[in-house]
This record gives sequence, C-alpha cells and structure tokens, in this order.
Amino acid sequence: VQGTLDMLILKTLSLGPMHGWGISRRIQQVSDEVLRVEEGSLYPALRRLELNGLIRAEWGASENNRRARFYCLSVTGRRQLVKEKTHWQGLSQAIAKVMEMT
Amino acid sequence: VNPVRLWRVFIRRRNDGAILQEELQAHLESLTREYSESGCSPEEADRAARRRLGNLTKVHEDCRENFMLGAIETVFRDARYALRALRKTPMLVVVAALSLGLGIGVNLLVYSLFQAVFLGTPTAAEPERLVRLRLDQNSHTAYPILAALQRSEAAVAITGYRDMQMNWRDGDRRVDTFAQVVTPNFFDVVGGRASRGRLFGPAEVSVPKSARIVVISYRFWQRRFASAPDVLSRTVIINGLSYSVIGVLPTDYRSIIGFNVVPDLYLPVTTELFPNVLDNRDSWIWR
Repeated sequence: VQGTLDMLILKTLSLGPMHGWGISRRIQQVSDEVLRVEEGSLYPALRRLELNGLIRAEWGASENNRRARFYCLSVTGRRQLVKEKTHWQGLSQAIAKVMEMT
Repeated sequence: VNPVRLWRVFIRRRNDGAILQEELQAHLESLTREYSESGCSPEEADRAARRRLGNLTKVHEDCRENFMLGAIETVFRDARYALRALRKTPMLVVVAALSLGLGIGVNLLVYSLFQAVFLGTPTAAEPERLVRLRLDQNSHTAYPILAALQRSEAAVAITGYRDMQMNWRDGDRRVDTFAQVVTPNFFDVVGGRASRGRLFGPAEVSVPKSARIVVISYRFWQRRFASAPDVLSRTVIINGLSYSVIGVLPTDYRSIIGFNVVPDLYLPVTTELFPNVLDNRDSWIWR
C-alpha cells in the first residue's frame, strides 16, 4: 500500500537500531513472509527518512563484525510513527467496516 | 524550503554514492548467504541474490533523487553533461563554432552594409533637407559655376566638395591620404560637430584668401596620431604645405559619401591648393 513503507520502517526501527538488511529481514519475518520489502525502494526510503530527520544513520559493526550502517529513530521519527499509526488504524478500521457491510 | 533539511542534503550528498555501494554490497552478501543456507550451490545463490537485488544503477539513481534540489540543479547537470559530450567530439564543436561564427559574421556584414547603404543618414543638421545637385549630365561642376550658384540664391545654401588623394608627410615617409577639399561653408551647410577643437566656417576662411587649417577624422587621429591629446597644437604637412589641425571629427561621424567612408582630412579650398581655382578657362571641377 502506498506510503506504508515509511511507516513499516519507522515501526521496525522503534524496536532498536538496525541496518538495511536487518530491516528488510525483520519486516519479512514478522509478516510471515507476506510483506517483501523491495531493496530498490528500501534504500531510497531510508534516504528520504534520513533527510527529513525522522531517522539518523551511523556506522557500527554488524553481527558478523563488518562495518554496517545502522539506522535509528529520532525524536521526530518517534512522533511521526505515533501519528502514522493512528492514521493507519483509522484507515484500516474504515476499510474493514466497508468490507463487512451487509 | 526547510534549511535543516537543505543542510543535511549538502553534507550527505557527496559521499552517499560510496555509502550506498557499501550497504548494497553487504546486503548482497547477506542475501547470498541466506540463499546458500537454504541449500543452493554458491553460484546459484550468487545469481539468485543478484536477481533479487535487481538493477543496482536504478537503486543508486532513486537514492540520488532524494538529494536533488529541483529544476535548477537538473539544468546544471544537463549543461555539464552536454559539455562532457561536446568534449568527446572536438571536430564537430570546431565545425559548429566556425559555421555559427561565419553565419553570424555574414549576417552582421549584410545588415551593416544595408544600414550603411540604405538606412544610414550622414551626420548632418537636417539630412532631409540636403540635396545633391548635378548640372546637365555632369558629375562635376566647375568652381566658377558653383560660386555663381552660391551667389544666385537658387538654394538656401550651396556647398561644394572634391575628393582628392593627398600626400601627408609622416616623418620622412609620404603617406597617401584621402582628403576632401570643401568650400569654406561646408560644415555650416551640412552640419556636424567636432569631438575636439572646432570645425572651420566661412568667417575664418574666404576664398581666395589662404587659410592653412585642416579638420581630421577620428580614425586618422587615432591611427596616425595615436589619439595624442595635443593634436590641436600640431601642424601637418600636406602636399608640401603645413596646415594646423583645428579639429577632430567625432568617432561616429558619417560623411555625405556614405558607405561608412570618412575622409581622413577636410581642407577648405584655397588658392594655394588650387592657384587657378577661380579661373573659368581652366575647369577645376567640383561636385
């Protein structure tokens, strides 16, 4: 769904700093392999979020001890996540109501 | 425009290509590892991972788009790209530049010729009231007849001029110089101003009295006197006689000859120049 990738990334990062690979893996696992984040949209989205100040990026060591770029949520990002979450809940409830109409 | 965001764009844009490269490389390796753990051969795993990741150039491009500053930057990039492309084909650039230059040059030439021949009016007080007189079918008229015409009040004023090649002595060289010998009232009738000094008039010159004065063109002053500021105190030797320079014409002076031709020297007619100028039998001709 359009615009939800940013929200998914923010939500994933709210659990802790993660690198690109970790984010795509986590989303895929949690969604039981239903949501597959295209790498072609993940990295541009990370740039977009970073430039908008919603996430911060810094170098760190990955689990196999390689240099990796870790992303973490900023204060603005946390606030944005809350906003998008409410918006999303409203939207999905609305869609559910329409779909369950008799 | 958010200045904080702009600042982030500026500090991040330069090295983002390298960062992304590293991230994608790590991503690719993790993917490959995942594929081989699921039982693929190393080659298959590598191939599958690359396929999964897709077109890396496209990813780079999509990421770079976030650092774009809009239309101005795109134009700037396009211009740089055009320059790079031009550098690859120097012969084409040379040929294009030459033909453009030639075309513009010819265009300019044609227009300035047109302007000089058809549109330009001479530097004159009232160019629309200037009339060129020709008697019978002759191009030139004898001076006594001209003088008689001047006295006759057939026109408001009549002036005469004659183009001549004259010798100007420059040190020990003799330089052929284009001169116009004119009746004393020439500048009064035609009009015009001097950019330095003054022009002569009938008050100070009267035929046949001698007045050894000369007005020079701006070009002549520039080229032969190197624009010397003290030119008005100098004398020049023309056809063996010394004349004092009394004035310099302005740089945009347009003579009645047209075609952007301006004589180097304007001299008032004198009996010294033409001892028999008043003699009817010897037909000095004027036009």
